[in-house]
Amino acid sequence: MTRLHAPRSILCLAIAVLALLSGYTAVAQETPGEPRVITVLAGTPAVAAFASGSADTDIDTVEFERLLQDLFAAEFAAEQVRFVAGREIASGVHETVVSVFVRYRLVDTSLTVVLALVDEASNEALGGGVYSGFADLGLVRVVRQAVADTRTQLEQIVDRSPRPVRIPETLVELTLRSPHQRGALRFQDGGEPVFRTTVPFQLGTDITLLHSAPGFYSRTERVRIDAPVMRFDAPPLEPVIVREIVYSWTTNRPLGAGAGIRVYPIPRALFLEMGVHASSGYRFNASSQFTALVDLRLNTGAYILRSQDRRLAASVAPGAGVVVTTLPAADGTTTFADPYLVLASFAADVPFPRLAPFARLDLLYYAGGSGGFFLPGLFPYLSLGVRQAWTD
Amino acid sequence: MDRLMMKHTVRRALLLACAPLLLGGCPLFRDPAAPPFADRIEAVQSLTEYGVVPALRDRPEMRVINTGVREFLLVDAPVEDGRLLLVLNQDLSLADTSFDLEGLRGAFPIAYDEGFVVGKRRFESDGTSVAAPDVFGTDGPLQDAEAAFGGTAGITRLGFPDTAGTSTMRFGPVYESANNFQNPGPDVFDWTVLLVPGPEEGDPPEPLFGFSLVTFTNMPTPDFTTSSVGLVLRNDRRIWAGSLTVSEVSQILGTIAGTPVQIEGTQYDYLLELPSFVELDSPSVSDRFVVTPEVVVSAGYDLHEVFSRESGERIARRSVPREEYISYAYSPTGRHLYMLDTIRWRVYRVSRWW
Repeated sequence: MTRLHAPRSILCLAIAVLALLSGYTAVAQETPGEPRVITVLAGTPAVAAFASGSADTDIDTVEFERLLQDLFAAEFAAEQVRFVAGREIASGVHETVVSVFVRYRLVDTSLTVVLALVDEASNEALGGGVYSGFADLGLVRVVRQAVADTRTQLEQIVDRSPRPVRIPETLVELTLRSPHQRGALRFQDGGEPVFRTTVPFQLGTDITLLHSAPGFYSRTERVRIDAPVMRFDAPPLEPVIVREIVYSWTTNRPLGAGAGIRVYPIPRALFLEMGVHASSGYRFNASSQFTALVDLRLNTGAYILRSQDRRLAASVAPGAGVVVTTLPAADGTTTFADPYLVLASFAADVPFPRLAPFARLDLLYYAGGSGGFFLPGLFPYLSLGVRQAWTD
Repeated sequence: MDRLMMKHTVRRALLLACAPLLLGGCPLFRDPAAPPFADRIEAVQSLTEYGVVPALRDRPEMRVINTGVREFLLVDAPVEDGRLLLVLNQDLSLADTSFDLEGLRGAFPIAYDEGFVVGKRRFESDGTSVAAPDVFGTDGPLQDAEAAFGGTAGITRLGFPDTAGTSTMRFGPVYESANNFQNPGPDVFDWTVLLVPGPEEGDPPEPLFGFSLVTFTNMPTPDFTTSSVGLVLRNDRRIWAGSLTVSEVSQILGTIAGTPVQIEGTQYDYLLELPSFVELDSPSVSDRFVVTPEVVVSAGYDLHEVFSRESGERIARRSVPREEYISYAYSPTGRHLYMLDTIRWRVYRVSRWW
């Protein structure tokens, strides 16, 4: 099995016949331990007579040239020079393009064949030969000798051919897509958006795009040009959130849940949060009773940290609230109210675009008023929850 | 499936679902500001309605008296012009008030008409104080190394001489009801208490270095002819608990020292055997114990522990807020706990938590 080898072994040949102006190109393929294969493109070899294109003979010239073409084709094939259709190897991409000129002269049965190998770029003669014989049974020997010599010379040309010159590839077409309606992606140059660029970005270049959409925070994206034709699908932008619904669960009040609303006067910076948490102190024991606690709270907070990768955010949110406790005592329910201060509330978020799971540690101070139930002092509470963006 | 069974099944399913969250009382799953046992509160009463004036840094004293018929909570509380002893019924209603009785150390029930004694004052079975001469006559109230129990015939003092190397419990004197609990008889007998048998037969009883009384509890008895007193004894760092139950005090005290005593079919010589004494399993440093018929409760500063009366093993423990906010008093029945919020002077009756 043969396969196309490294550029060093690639040779492009254009085999042209003077009279018919037919051109041929070829590539050499090589497998260690096997004969090198030279593939000739663009048709079979054509043959033309020289000396006014007529032969001084009784032999039918058309038939003779067809025979000669078939012989050359057969002998090139025997010498591992393979013909394929098409002319896909362009000059400049491959190392060398060689034209092979084949002419003959036939007088009676005396035949002379001339082959010339010419560099198509420089018109420099790279090789060739003159072969004589008779156009009878000796014709095969003449053609075989010519093809064998040509094959040898082609191999030498392959060996001498310089390394292929790599022409830098450039971006031809770049398609940018934003997942947002009315989203836009623009080139950035020095931090400023550029609406159109005529720079032919070379492959391997990193370019900066500004991704923006109404209702979302703009973000720059770095894209590496790695193909002439590219498509870049920008990741979703973080929405500008001004309201969120907050769901929470406090470990210290496990039989309960909280809900609230958070409003951002300055998105991603300052917020107000109102919430209510309802729970019971029931402990799943025979004598345990369904005490009821309702916790109302108002916090004001600010973000103090946002990681660059937007995977973590930390905030503090002092505030105040009141816990209303109802005890189902034997002599009727008794209700108490414990106002408190949220001296500190540290939260760590994982801000996904629409959901933000969080863990929050609150330090609550109960004053211990006469109508209260809770002990006075400073107490920690741990809450887990998620905030959901509230959009119209 | 009947309704009760269905209820149990639902409760079990809920428990299984929530067990990982509750994690056996892990502090992470408790409200740190809530009073302990908040889900077990059966009754609530503000003492300010009874004239108590909340005072900062006042350390109230509480004790529970159970006569076998009724239970009373005694609270030594501050009022505007001094201190007041509040006698509360089990439902936390007010039974009586008396002025300062110099603390609650000597609060114990006696069997006369189901009443009880606090200090030197007697109270009726309904918790009201009796306008009668003080008990003990000219003798002082109980001291730290003393206990007492009552019977139909009178009140007997128990002395635990705080002398190193002694294992002696002193019975007497007896203040007989016939003498209006005055003028005690002269008989006082010392008995050696065997906490554990010696390692070999014939060895002297352990501990060799004696013991001291930590606290005592007048335990409820089913009838008034029987008296029972729970005792907690300290021996070096070891704590022993047990109870002494007698059906007729005069039977013991009427016996000449050194003569074998017959109590409920068991013969005792000079060694009074108290087979119900057990060593408690590593109690915290606490000097507040309550002996109930089934368990011994250690009410430490911020840790309460419950020990089996049978084996001495700890069967439950619970961290509680510091006593500067909450005072605790356990019922001798082991069925209730009373908590006093000393910030708001509010009393809670709480069901058994272990």
